Amino acid sequence: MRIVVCIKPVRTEMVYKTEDRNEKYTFNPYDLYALEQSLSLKKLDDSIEIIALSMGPMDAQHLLVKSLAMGCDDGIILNDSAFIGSDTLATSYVLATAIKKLNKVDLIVCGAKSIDGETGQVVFGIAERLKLNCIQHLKKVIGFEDDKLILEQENGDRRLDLSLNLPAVIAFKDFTLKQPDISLLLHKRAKQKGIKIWNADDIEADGNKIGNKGSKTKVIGVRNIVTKRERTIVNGSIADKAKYLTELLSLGSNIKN
Amino acid sequence: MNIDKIAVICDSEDYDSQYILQLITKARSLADYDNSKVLVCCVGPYHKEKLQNLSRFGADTIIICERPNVTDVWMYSDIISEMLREHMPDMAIFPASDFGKEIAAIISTVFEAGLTADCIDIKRNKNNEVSFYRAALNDSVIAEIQCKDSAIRLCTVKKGIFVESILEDRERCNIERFPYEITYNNKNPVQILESKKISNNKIVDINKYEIVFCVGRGVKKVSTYKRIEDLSKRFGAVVAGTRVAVEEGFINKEYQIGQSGKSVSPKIYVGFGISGASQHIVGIINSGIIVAINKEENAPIFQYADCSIVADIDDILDEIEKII
Ligand SMILES: Cc1cc2nc3c(=O)[nH]c(=O)nc-3n(C[C@H](O)[C@H](O)[C@H](O)COP(=O)(O)OP(=O)(O)OC[C@H]3O[C@@H](n4cnc5c(N)ncnc54)[C@H](O)[C@@H]3O)c2cc1C
Repeated sequence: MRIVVCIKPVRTEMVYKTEDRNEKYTFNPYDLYALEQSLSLKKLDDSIEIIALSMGPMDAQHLLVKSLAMGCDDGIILNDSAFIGSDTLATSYVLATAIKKLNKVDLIVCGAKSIDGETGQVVFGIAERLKLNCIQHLKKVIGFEDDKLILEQENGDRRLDLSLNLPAVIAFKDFTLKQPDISLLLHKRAKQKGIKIWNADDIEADGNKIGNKGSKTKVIGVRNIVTKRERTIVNGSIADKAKYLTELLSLGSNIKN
Repeated sequence: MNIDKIAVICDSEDYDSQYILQLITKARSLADYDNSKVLVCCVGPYHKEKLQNLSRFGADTIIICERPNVTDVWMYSDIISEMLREHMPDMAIFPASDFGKEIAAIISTVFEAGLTADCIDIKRNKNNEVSFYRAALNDSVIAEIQCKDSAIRLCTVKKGIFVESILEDRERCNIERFPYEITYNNKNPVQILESKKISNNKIVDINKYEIVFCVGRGVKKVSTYKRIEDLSKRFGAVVAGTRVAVEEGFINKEYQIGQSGKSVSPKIYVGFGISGASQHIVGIINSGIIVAINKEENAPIFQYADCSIVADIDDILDEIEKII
């Protein structure tokens, strides 16, 4: 069985605010969850081949190396200046085109959405382009039975165990903020193995369907809605600060908003 | 850009649900801007009164594909695609239900048309284009989005954003049956092996508390957590946490505050060792007084707080325990 996991690199500061990470990009937390679930299948059957696929800048290469270290068999970064500015439609085109080139893929795995785009549209875009069935809201992989994948889905207030015919596109619903633990040795081996870099020509992409040119939406502007407050800094010694807080809490329900 | 026709795409369940009526009302008001028409696309049983009711909210033409219970997204999308191809509206509005969003994403791919998800407003703008507005970046900003090079502008709209309203003196509208032949074979990709209702016996209402103590990664020791818990009892507060505190195991998921947890609006919120990520802040912005305790003077949470206390949590707790 051949599985492709689509991973979006997102800016590190969107996920980890305070930790001083020196990497500009990190895994989209939803995709990291999907990747971990996919790798759990490999534990059941080592012959399963898992390919990590990302469209993104070269600064995000290390995420594919990490994916290899976590257990993926191949890592591919789709990088081309012509891909820059792709909206969900152009993105699903690029990913689906690369998947077509990979040939004989049984399962395509995605996260529910990306934390910077938050649309969840790419999954269905890929499925439509590849004319494959698609299911989402998956919680976990249970296993497989004669070429069918057994999955747990959480849909509204129901938990379902499903048996899915392949090929198909699936999306998990959850995310994780825990960085994978990767040993130095595995990381080194992954680096030696190396990842593949494909550009628009490599996947034979139609130049009119990618990047800004292929995008059908444009962001006109953004407006902040979270208002900052008039801040009072509580000065003095620790004892003063404690006293201030205790007094405030004692007022409790008498405070009028 | 002239908009001649605006389509509203109904959900698989009721085509006259309150949600759909909200969308029709909004489509009507947008259509009035340049005297254009509102087309409503339905799939389901032919129910005359229900269909006629749609016109009272602003539908000019209704097309219905008479097919009960189409729950397969691919068949539904196929029907909608044919309807749109035949009537070619300039814009189509879908409900942002799971089903609506799936259909919209497929239609966007089929028509190579721009799609904006989860809109909270739609307006005609100065340049006479249609602007779609949606919350972005963890609900911290509103983005204005327009379509380009798209024959149809697509959007999904959140529930409860627009208010449905009945129009006076509406003439009966056209109701057309839309024939559809299944052109593709659907081999039913999934079988359900088991289905259980997720028991919700642990519904926790953190909003009944007037004081919320929220712990973050800055609370590292169990002993510190216990001290905060003791303090909370003294003031009748509830102890909740950030996503990190939940993943670290200090706090139960039911008590997580923020974008992927709950929103709170207590009289007093006290954050213990919380950095102030936007995913957390969106859950506390409606609080009365926001107090933040953080040892870093530059912690982002201080920008959203009314009272900033720069201190180590354990040091503060030592002093508070002396006072009370
Ligand atoms: C899709 C998605 C959804 C999310 N949803 C949520 C959500 O619903 N709710 C949520 O909370 N988060 C959510 N997050 C996570 C969010 O991005 C942040 O990672 C999280 O809120 C940070 O939690 P924190 O403030 O506890 O930890 P950190 O960011 O690590 O901050 C810890 C703070 O404690 C301070 N500190 C450390 N030690 C001490 C001490 N001894 N005394 C005083 N201060 C100290 C530090 O200075 C630091 O500012 C989500 C993330 C994603 C990607």
